[in-house]
Amino acid sequence: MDPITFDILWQRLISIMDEIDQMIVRTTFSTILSESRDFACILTDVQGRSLCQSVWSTANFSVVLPRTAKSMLDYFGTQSLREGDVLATNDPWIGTGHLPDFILLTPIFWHGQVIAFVGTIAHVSDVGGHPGEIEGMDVFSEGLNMPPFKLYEAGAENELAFRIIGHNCRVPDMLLGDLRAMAGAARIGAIRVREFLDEYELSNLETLATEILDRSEALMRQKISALPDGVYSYGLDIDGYIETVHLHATVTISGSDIYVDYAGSSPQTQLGSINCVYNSTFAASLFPFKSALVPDLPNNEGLFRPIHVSAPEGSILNATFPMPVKARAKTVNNVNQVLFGALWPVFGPRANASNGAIWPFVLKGEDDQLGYFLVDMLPHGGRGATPAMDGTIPVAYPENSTITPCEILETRAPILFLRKEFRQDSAGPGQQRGGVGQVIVFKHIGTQPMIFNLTPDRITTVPPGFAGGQAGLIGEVRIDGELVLRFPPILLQPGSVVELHIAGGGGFGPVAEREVDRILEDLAMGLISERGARDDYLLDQRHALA
Amino acid sequence: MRQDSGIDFITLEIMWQRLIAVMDEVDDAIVRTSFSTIVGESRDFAYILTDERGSSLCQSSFSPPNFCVVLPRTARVLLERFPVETLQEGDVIATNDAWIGTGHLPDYVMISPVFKHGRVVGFIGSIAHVSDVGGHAGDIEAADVFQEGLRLPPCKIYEAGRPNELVFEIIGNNCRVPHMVLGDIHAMVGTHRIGAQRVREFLDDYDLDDLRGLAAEIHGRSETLMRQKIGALPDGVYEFGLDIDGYIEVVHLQARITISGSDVLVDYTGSSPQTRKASINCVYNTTFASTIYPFKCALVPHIPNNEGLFRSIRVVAPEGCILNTTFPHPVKARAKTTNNMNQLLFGALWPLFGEHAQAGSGSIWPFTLSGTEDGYGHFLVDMLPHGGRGATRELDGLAPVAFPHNSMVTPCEIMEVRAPILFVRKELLPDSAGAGRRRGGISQVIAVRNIGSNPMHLSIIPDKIVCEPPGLGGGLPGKLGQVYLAGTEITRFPPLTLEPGAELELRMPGGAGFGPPSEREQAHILHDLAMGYITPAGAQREYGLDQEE
Repeated sequence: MDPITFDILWQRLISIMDEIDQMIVRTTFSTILSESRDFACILTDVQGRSLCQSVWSTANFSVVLPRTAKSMLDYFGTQSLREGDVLATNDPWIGTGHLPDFILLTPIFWHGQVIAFVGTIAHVSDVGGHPGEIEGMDVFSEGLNMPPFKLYEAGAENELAFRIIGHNCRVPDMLLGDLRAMAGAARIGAIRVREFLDEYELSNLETLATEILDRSEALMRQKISALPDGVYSYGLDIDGYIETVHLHATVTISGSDIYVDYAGSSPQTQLGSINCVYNSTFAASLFPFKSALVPDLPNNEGLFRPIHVSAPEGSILNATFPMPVKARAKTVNNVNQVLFGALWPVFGPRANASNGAIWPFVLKGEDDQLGYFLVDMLPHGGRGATPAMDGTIPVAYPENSTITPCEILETRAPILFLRKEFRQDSAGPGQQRGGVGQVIVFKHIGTQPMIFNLTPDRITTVPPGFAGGQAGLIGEVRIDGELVLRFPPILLQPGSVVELHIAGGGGFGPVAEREVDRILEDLAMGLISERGARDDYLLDQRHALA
Repeated sequence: MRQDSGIDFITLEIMWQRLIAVMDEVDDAIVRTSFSTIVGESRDFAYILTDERGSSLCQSSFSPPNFCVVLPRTARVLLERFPVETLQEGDVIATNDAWIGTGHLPDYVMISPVFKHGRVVGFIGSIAHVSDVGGHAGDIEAADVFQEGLRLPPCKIYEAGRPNELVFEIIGNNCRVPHMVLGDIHAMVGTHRIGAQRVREFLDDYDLDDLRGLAAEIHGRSETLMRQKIGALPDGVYEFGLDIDGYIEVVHLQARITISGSDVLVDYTGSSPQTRKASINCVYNTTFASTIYPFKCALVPHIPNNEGLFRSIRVVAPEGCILNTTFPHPVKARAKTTNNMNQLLFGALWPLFGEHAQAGSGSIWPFTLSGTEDGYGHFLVDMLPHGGRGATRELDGLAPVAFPHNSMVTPCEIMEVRAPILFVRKELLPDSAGAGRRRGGISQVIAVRNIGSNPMHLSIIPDKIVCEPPGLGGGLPGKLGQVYLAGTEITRFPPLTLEPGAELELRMPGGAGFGPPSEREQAHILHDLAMGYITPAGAQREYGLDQEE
């Protein structure tokens, strides 16, 4: 297949995934899909190997889906599938690592044969279980766990499955509406793929699939081979919950293969739902390699083949059933930082020092004027610096999520934002400094108590810098001035003021090598204070030297 | 209204007892085939035979009373969803929905049609409390039913004799001890098959095509007798209000009972609203069952339980009150409320019920200890200890026995073998009984120590630690209970931790008295003194007995 035709065909498949991605946004019932875009659309071949994804799909979902697809196909057998079947599960160990993510797999039939699958993963609004995030001692307290099942059978809804799911969910209309939207979009995807095959007179996708997977693998192997062989390791303390968690990675680069081993990481825990299943660890491990080595190539399974990930069973990065996993993102989001910690010397400008973390929060309750309300925000801290650039100010990372504006929250919930501003002196100093964190302060201006669920990170351990760069400033949560360290659902009283001081990113390179002009610029911008310039960046000494 | 079925009363009694014997046989079968101790040892299950419309005819002798009253109500909802004419031989319909069933998720309700000549003639119904349905690890503190585990809507778990694999996988996937729960459910299905076979043999033996004639006799005669007993009570309106512990906030129960001819109307208007602070809300089914219970015990204690007995009693509870809670309020520990309802009704009706009325009881305090320890592995033990029972007009209250349940108390020795614990004390608690002409039952104190090397989880649902068990006819209330954890009194009961070396001490409430203490015979007081049931100081305080005497 010539490269031009190849790319045209591949891009056509990607545009099909983008079309159904749009369709989910327009037909979904919940804001977590339509606004926060916490979903993915992936096309796989008949064996469940991913060929492409919609452009917006979140990185981790795209890596997990083919693994889930293969588990479900082992379970049902491709031969037994009929046109109109839709397979589904939300089992954390088969899927993405926590119950709110439903995975649907729809076979595409062509001339009576299954030739591909449309896979979708969506974070649904509720699956029952306890109303908090972190404090849960096992997965049974986290909601309904559906084993692999047929959501549709030969085009007909599995009425029993819909009833059971609806029965175990606080917002059944929303959840069942979302599942139907996902299945409907996949149906359109299947029609488009058939039109594509028809137009190009293909009897199946196998030749194209082989091209996509093999070419991608070859490129990834070429990039890995260009890295120096060796063993690279790094250990990172992260907050965990109640007890600090240690993540440890040993990365072996050997020819065109990479072996990542997490031996030495903390054991799984029942103190908090921060355990990661292997699927999540695998996905989070691929992310830095994909970003650093082949950033422009469409995501597909060929890219994963040279990378081998192992984590001891029973460790926090390969948790066993039935450990609690609901807030696993608190751990997973730090996996890229362990790998960058080990590999920054070989990744060059694409390495990224540690980040100030994501602090998802939800407010819900009842209000005289607003009725029942539920709002959420996913604010971030500053990003880590890279060898070439200061860290960016708070943007979503390593997820694609979007930030709900304060004004929207204020119209939907009885709260008033008092401050949302950069957090001075929070960036980790360095030749390149980290991204500045942010301060968010809001007040409960309603008349009835409301529930406040927050999952902060980097409030007990700092985001470290690399190559002599310094750590970002640790985060802090205060309610009415009191420091808060435990995060079960908090009952927020009317008049209470919540302060979120989110950590800054880590710096890169020694602070002594930062140009004085840039320090003065940060000072002028207010990103650092006089004290910070003097104590963190030693500005006076450097003036004296000059 | 009597329907003439041509069955004389001797034949009726023989046939009825035969059906009860069938239920007792399946009851024995479940004890021998179940996988869990809660079914096998604590006997938290029931078997009920219904006619083709779901009306109950009889139960196995050991079945708990509440389950027997609820099952026909559940059966009718299941039959609305799966109409009787659509059923096939080998179908088993199940649900654990709290509002359709018994009021909390651990109870699975199942019915199987019994076929004769290709037509449904009746149903074998069973209810079993299974060991786990997922959900939060505690008992009381929850804000909604979604936290309390898997809620299975009415569904066919067997269809024409074949298991519905998806349902079994979902139940197993959402449960901490799937082999135990699925084993119990399979055992229930198996015993249903035996029951259906025996009912068919019964029909063959008596040359009957169906149970209609017999059902009409059982229901008709039972209703007639119950109406006769109610008709003998003086017409009138009887009211009583009772404060019970609730959780965090005291709950008020209010009953207004109207006896009019052979009908009874029980209205709970004035009771506290439902709560989101704790899982102590009762669905209507549970309230209905707990209301029937005192009438059954007081008026027709010897008639086998069947739906004919319920027809003359109407129960009203405003929607949204704690006795008719709406979805999705938390309900897991609803027994903490329902167990007090008999005291409310006896409070209103004792003047009519004579020797059958009973003063307030010291309640049940279920607790569970679980954890991991070398030599024990992963352990989980539970006990269902009781306080003293309330006095009746003629008798002192009993020392701790199960009430109003049939449950059994696991022996200390069994628990000590299975968990790293040592029972330091288990003894009667002097002066705990409410004084009266007939005093309440003495309660008990239980002290248990963690002798392992790891902390263990403790879950406990005490009652009567805020509001006393009420006395009747001038009898005094029983004494309040107290819970001490590592020497400190506790009043909140989320999942707790018992540290190594620490002790849990349960000082349980005593039963309340009946009649004025001044009327208690001195011989009885002296006997209690001699037995150590009361102390000399107690005898002086409660009965004015001088040390000298």
